Amino acid sequence: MDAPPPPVPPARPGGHQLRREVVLHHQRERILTAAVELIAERGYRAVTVADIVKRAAIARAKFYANFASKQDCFFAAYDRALAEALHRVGEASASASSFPAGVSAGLGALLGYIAAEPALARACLLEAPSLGPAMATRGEAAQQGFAALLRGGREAAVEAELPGGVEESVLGGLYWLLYHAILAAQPERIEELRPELVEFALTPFLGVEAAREAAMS
Amino acid sequence: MRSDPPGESPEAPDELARLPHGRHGLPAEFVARNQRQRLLASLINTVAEHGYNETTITRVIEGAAVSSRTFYKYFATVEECYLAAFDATVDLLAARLAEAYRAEVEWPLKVRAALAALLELFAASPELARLCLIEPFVAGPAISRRYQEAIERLAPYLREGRELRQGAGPFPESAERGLLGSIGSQIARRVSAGEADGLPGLLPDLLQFALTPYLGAAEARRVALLDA
Repeated sequence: MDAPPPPVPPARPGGHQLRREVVLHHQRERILTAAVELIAERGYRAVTVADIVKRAAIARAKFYANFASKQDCFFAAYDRALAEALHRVGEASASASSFPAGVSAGLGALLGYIAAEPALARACLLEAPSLGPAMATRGEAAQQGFAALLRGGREAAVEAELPGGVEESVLGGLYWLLYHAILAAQPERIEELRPELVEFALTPFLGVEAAREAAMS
Repeated sequence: MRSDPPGESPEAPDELARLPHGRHGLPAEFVARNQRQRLLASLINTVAEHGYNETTITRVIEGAAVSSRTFYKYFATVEECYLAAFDATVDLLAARLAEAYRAEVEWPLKVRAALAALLELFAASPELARLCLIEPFVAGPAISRRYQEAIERLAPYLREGRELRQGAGPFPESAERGLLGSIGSQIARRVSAGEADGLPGLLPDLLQFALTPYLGAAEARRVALLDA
């Protein structure tokens, strides 16, 4: 845990507005980082605002200047993480030349993000459901957002009619595979999952052979 | 499984199977003699009605019509009680699935029978779907690990299909895990939306999805569309 930064001199009246904004932003970031770390370490339920305040090394009043509650703080972290994940996945798959390449690139980007931010991944994937019904809208938004990864699957599909709800089924399976991997607590190895996740995602659309080929390339 | 105290009847999955099929309220007939069974039944109903976060010892003992002292005779925490109910339900499920699976000869039809049994059981008892498929994620890793173990326990049903993959090359170890995760997630979505009645109707789609990696898309679809 880093030592807290040196105290910032009070802003002079009418001046240094930018410096004040930087300080406030920095505080908010410290709170979010601390909250995510603690939630990943101890589980959402066990963490209190007092814990977060202590880990962030800020005054309790500063927490409540930024967030209404622990839940509010968590939602801020979650919303930002989801937006970032969707952005990375979207960018990666948009620049691909085919549906399978897009799925591979998108999943690669997602795994890269998880590998780079293991505490955030654990908080958003494993701990978020602890909030129960409060997470319903966000869970649905995540589902809709990631469904974009599979857009183009129906056009690319080969023989036979696809089963109903195939995108939902794929996403549900991918979620469980990621959950299982994070539960096994080997975050540094998560990127090794890419080929099997790609094969899993593509098989319903492209069939066994083509899915495996795309996964291996 | 934890061993029962002397004098108590052994774990009897049939007791749970006799839970009424409504989605509200307490069981119409309590499992009379066995306090532990009553606690498990009450836990299941409390979770179904209030969710894991609002499942308290007070609510559980009220539903079981026992004292807190009785609760602590069997369980130290709500979590422990939950795990016992979860384990008992998975045992019940495993028995039903095994029976259905055994009744058929060809592997695709065996899977079909087992999946149909799973969907029927959860359609009839959506509180068990909440317990096994939805609330473990709310409860968090301590309980969701049990879900993980249950998935691994069911994987062999699908794994048997690997023999049928005609020279398609190596198949990821995790494939069955992903397929079962998909099925669990689809059931959970329907139950969450209050559409447990419609679960048996998912059989063709889920079966096609599950069989495709083993039989190929066309054959998987053909099996999925067979008449009951």
